[in-house]
Amino acid sequence: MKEETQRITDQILVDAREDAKSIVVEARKSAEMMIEEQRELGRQKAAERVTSILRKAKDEADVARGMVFTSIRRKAGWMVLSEKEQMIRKILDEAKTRLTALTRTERYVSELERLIVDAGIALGGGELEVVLNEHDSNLPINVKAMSKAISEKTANKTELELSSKRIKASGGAVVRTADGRVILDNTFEDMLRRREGDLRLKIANILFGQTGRS
Amino acid sequence: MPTALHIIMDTEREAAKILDEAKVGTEKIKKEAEEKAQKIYTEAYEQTISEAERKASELKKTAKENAEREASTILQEAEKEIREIRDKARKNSSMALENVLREILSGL
Repeated sequence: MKEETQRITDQILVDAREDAKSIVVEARKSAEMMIEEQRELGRQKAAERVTSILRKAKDEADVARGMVFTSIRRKAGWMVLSEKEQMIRKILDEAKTRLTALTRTERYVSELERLIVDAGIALGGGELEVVLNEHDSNLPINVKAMSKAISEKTANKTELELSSKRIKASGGAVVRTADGRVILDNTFEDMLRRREGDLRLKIANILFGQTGRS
Repeated sequence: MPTALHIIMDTEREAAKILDEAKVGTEKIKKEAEEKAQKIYTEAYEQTISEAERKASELKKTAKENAEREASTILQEAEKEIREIRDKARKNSSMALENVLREILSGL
């Protein structure tokens, strides 16, 4: 009887321990599964944002690419334009230097007279005043002959008078009506300034074999 | 002296206790797993985002580098054009200067 009882109690305890062990094993397995599910869930949840991040990055990359090309094209264009500008500027500066040098030659007197006559004609003749720079005021220009030439061209009796005032210019003259109301500035500086736009086009055309403003 | 029935009943109680302890253990495992699962979820989420951000950064960097490399040909073409401009200008500068002087002097 005692042995039988011992067998039964042993079996009860063995069964209980096995059941307990199974419960724990099952719980651990379930815990592992839950952890893996949460890991996958975290990845899936992030996937939506990942798509958004990558799409945004691609858009930004496209924009950055466009900006790089735009910037380099602008830089390249600027390099070419800058080079052309330097060359055109060099020609204009050289022209000014040559015009200044012209004022030290014998030829200049006749050029200056022609300038004054052209200005007088443009003003329609009459009583006109000629303003020169300090150097040119000492040149032997023929005022009478110039007055006569303007009178003939305009059919208006013209009297040119040299002003005692002086201009600051490398050469050329300012011619104005006696009342000072109409002025024609034919100094080299003003002529170059007035015509710079046209001259630039012509210089560009000759230098680079092209038309269009540079 | 205990009877066989008493002995078996005591053993039954002991067995129940073993199972109760196992259940307490499983509750603890479950609770720990829940805490760990939350942490794992956050880690997995953040790691995935972090990896995507790294890829995004690399994508932008590579795109910019490629664009700069491709666009460098534009600068090379500009440099070539400048060399051609200089050559033309060198040949034609005298003519351009004479033309300017003629234009100005013809207006005198």
